[in-house]
Amino acid sequence: MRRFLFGAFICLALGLAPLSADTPATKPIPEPTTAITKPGPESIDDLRAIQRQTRLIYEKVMPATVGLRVGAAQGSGIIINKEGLILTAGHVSGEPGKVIDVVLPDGKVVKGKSLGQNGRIDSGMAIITDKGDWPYVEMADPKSVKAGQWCIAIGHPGGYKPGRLPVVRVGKISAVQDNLIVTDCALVGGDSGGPLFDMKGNVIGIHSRIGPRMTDNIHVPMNVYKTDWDALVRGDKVGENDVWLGVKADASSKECKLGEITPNSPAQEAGLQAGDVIIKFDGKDIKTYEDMTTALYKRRPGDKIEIVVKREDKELTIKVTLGKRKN
Amino acid sequence: MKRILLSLSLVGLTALPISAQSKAPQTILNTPSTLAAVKPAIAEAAKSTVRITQDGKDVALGTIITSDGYIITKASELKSGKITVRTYDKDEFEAEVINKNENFDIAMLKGKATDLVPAKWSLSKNTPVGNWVASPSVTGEPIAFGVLGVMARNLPGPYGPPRVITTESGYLGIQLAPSDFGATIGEVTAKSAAERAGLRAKDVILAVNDYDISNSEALPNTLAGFKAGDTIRLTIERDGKRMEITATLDKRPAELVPKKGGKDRSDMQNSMGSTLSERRTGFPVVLQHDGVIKPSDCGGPLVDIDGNIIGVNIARAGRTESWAIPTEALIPLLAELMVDKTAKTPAEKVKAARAALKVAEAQKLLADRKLAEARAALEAALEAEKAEKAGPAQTSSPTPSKDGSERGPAPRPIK
Repeated sequence: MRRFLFGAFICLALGLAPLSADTPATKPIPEPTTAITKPGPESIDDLRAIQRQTRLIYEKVMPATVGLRVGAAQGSGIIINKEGLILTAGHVSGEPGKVIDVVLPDGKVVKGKSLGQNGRIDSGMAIITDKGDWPYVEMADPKSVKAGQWCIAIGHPGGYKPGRLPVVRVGKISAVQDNLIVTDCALVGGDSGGPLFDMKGNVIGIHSRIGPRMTDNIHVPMNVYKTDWDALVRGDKVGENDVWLGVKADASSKECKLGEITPNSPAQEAGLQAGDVIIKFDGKDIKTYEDMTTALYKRRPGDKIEIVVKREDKELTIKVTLGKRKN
Repeated sequence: MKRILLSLSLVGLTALPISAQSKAPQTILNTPSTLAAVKPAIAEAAKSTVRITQDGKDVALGTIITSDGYIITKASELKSGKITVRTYDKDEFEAEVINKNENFDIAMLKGKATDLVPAKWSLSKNTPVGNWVASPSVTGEPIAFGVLGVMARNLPGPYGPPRVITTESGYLGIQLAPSDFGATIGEVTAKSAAERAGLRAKDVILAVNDYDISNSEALPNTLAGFKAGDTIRLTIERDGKRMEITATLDKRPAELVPKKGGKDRSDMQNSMGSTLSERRTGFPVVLQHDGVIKPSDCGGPLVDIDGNIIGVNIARAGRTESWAIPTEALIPLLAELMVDKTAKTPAEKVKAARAALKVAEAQKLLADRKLAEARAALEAALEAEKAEKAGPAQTSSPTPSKDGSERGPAPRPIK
C-alpha cells in the first residue's frame, strides 16, 4: 500500500515538472478577443481575458525558450524549427561557428553552434547540433506588428538560473521602426536574444538593448531576420561595414551631441569637436545619435560627405572624408 | 567572470511616446485606466494593508495578521524612531517591533488596536505564471501591477543580510566553469588555498561544511560567510567519485574586494529605471513579479485579480523583478514571530505565549482539515480502483488529459 502511494506521488510530481524538450506543446492559441485588442483594459473581465491568453501562450512557448552560453557570456534564444534553429541577438551569438551550450528550460544542456550575425542591427542565429526533435514556435508576419499592441517578453534575466523557468513579462509595444521594436516589457542583462511574442504566441522580436527608463526596451524585429535569412543560416557576418567617423555620443543628450572625438580619426581631421550637435548628415536631417549612425552606415570608407553642426549657436558645415575602421 | 548580456542603448529614440519623457514613464501597466480596472480586485486586501511611518516619513507598508494589532512588515526598512501605523479606515496607532526573522527580513509589529481586518491568505501555488498580480496601497489604490513571472522557488543560501566582503573575508582561489549541478571548478589559482588543498579543475563542489551547493551561484554566496584562516570541509565529486577535502582559506586579495558603492555592469543595468531595495538578497523562498514597487512600499500584500493574497512584497530586486514571500513560506513563520521577544514582565510573557498558542492552534486546525481532505481523496481513489478491477469499466475514473493540462497548476475558477 505504501509503495503504491509513493508511486502515485512520484507520477503526480512528474506531471507537474517543467516540460521537457521532447514534448512539443501544440495546443492552439485562440484568436485574441476584443478584450485583448482594445487600447487598454477597462474591467476585471478584460484583464482576465488577457491573463488567460498570456497563460496559454506561456505554456506553449516556454519549452522553446532557451538559455545560451557562449564562452563565459550568457544570453537567451528561441527555437523556431524542429531542427533546432535558434533566433538570438547578434551580440549573444557573437563570432559565427563557435561551439555553444544551449540550456533548455528544465536545465538540460545540449550542444549548439553559433551561426551568422548582423552586428549593426543586432540580429543573430544559432543551431542545436545534438540530435533531437525540438519544441519550437512560429514567427509572426512582421507587417502585423503595430504600436499599441500587447506583447509578452520571455527570457533569462541575469542569465539561466537553476530551478527558475524562463521569466515572463507583459507589456505594450510603444514604437515600431524599420530595425527595432520598443516596448515597456522591462529587460535586463541575460534577456538578450530572448523572444518577444504577440498575443497569438508568434515571435515578433528578439531582445536587444535597454535605455535608462523602464520604457526603453528594444527588440530586433522579424523583418530584419527575414531579409538576411540565408546569410544568417550560412553563418555570415552580414552588413559588416568598416566605415569610420570616430565620434562618441554624449549620453546625457537627447540630440546628436558629440561627447568624445577619437584622436587621429576622420572626425578630428575634419575639425569636429566635443559638444558639437549634428543637425544634418549627408543631406539628411538628424535628431538623434541613432539617426546619424543610420546615415553613416549607408556610406563606405573613402566617401566624402557634409555634416552640419550647431556649435555655440552657430551652424557650421564640415566636410569629412570617411575612414576605414581599424581593429 | 561571467558576462550577462544585454547592450545599453545610449542614444535617444525618435519614436518614444511623449509620456516617456516624464520622470516616471508610463507603461501600460501603470496608466490610470489600467489601474482603475484593477482596483476592484484589491478592495478587500487593501483593508488588510497598513502604512508604516517613522517620524512622519513613509518607511514601508504592512500586512495585518490579527484583528488585535499584530502586523508584519519588511524589517530592514525600519529605522530608529517611533513607529506609527495607519489603516485603511485612517485609524492611527503606535506599534513596536516584538520579533524579527532575519532570513526573510520580516518584522512583527504589535500595536494597541482592535477590529483590524486580518489578511485572508491563499496559497501562491494556485496562481499560475502569467496571471496578473497587484499591490494595494493603504487607500485601496493599486501601487504596482504586473504579472507573476516565476512561481515560488527556493534560492541558494546563505540567507540573511548580505555579507560585507573585505580583505579579511575567506578566499579559496578558484574560477568556476558552467555546470548543470553543483559548482564546477574551471581553473585553480596558482599558490591559492584551493591549490594547497589539492582542488583541481573539473572537480564539482557539492557542499561546503553542511551547506549544500546546489548550483554555481550558491558557492560564492556560501564562501562569503567564512573568514580568512577558517578551515572548511568541501564535499566534491572527482571522476565520478565523491570525496572530502579540507581547505584553509586565505585573505582576499585587495583587488578582488568590491569597491564601496562600486557597481558592476549587471548592478548598473538592474538599477536603471527604478530604485532597488537596500536588502534584496538572502531570502530563502521568493515568488517573482514585474510590478514596479518602491522600496518603501514593501511589506504589503501581493494580490491576484481574483483578490487572493498570495504573498507579501519583500524587495524591489532588479530592473525586471519584484519579490514577495509566498504564503506557503510565510504562514509557518507567523506563530514564532508572534512570541514577544521584548516581553519583560511575567504578565506580558503570558500574553505573548497565549497569542502564539492561538496561531499555532489555528494552523493545526488547517493542517487537520488538509489531512482529512487528503484521506478522503485517497479513499475515493481506492474505491475507484476497486470498481475498475471488479467489473466492466463503464464508470471508469477520469484519466489525466494528454494535452498537457496536467502539467501546471489548475487555473483558478473565475468567479
